[in-house]
Amino acid sequence: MENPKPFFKTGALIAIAIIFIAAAGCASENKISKDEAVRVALTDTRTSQAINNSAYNVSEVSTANLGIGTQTQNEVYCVSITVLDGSNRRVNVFVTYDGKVALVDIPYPVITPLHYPANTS
Amino acid sequence: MMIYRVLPSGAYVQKEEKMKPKKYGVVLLALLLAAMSMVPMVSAQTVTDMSLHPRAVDNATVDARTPPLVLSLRSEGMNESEIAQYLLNMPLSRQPGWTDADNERVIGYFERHPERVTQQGISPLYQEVQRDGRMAIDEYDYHGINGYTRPGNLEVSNTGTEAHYFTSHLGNSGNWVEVGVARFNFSSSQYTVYTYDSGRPSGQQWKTWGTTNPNTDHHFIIYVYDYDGTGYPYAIWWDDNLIDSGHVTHYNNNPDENHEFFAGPAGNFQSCSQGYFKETFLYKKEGSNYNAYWWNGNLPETTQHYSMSPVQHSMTLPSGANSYKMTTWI
Repeated sequence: MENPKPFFKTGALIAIAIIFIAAAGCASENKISKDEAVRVALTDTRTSQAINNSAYNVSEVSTANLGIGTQTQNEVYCVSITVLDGSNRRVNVFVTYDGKVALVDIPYPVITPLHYPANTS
Repeated sequence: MMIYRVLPSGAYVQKEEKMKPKKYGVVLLALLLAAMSMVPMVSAQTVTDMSLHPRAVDNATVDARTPPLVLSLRSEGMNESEIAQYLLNMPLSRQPGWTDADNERVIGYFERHPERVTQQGISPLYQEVQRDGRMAIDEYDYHGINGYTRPGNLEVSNTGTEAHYFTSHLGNSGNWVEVGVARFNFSSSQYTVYTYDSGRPSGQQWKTWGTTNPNTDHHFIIYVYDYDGTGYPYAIWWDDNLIDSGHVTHYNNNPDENHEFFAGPAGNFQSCSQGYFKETFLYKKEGSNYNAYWWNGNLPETTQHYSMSPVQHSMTLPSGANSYKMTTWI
């Protein structure tokens, strides 16, 4: 008769895989929505300081791979905000999938020349 | 080790020899799965610190990466301030054959990115989408950056990525200078070496030096000098050519190494081959000493790095290297 143990081992492997997949599924269920990411970004004090009471526009919410210092990269939301004060400042707010602001970055803006209509709007 | 099982008859048989390795396999697989669950499901790059202290660049290396003109001026006895004034008054070079008309034509391309066409000045009808692969320090500690860059092909097309700026900035509080290589779909055969000074009057911020081969390493330097009564003089070098100079508003600034991608409103970015920055060191004045430190995890400042999808990046400390290598691609 065939030894049943290999079947048990295969079963154990499948069980482990199922537990792993289920755990991953649970983790993904905790991922905040893009709308929630925007709310988190806009209520962060660093974002408020970067916007500095100016009018702003949330340009888009994308994803990014973020590393700070020597950490491994993590996939996060990137909430891109344009400050409508004539400076064309962009504020990139990186929000983790569990709803924490990891970084507020103000990259150097690309200035649209003054004679371009966008600067008069 | 061999294991035997005794049968009721008194005989014995050899137990399956491969049982034990299988058990190990199951345990290892379980450990592997557990480990995977703790690692972010993204392309991870780990960077190893070498020690807790910033690593100074030795004098011989600093000299080897200082433009020959500056070394010559020093050998004549000029101090930092005198060198700054000499460079400010020196005519800037352009690549032989790169004319005023070439310069004006390409500056026109820069002025179209990000392209914003508005209707009666109300709202943009055509807003480019920008994505960055970027590494930066945001603690206002450095007065210069000295590194190597190889942009790569910077693929562009009318329906995909419309422009690339592969550039390094140095600035503080909204005032900055930069040097980099740009490629536009308007003129896709040319890789233009350019500089930008946000403090110049409108329309004069951009300057172009000429064109370059994007698939070789190029040496760039941005260096800010002490206050001269007007501001802080700076000099920008490309492969040991002085290509821009002027004043910035601060001595201590933030450096970055940045790959900026621009596409049309739909954001149809296309595949892009790898480009990188490497072997960068940063200048920091401490007391009356002008020091240089490799840009790696030993610096006291935090280095942040990111890429906005679909841009990818890796920030590594290659074996034998002194500083981070920042690579970007799509």
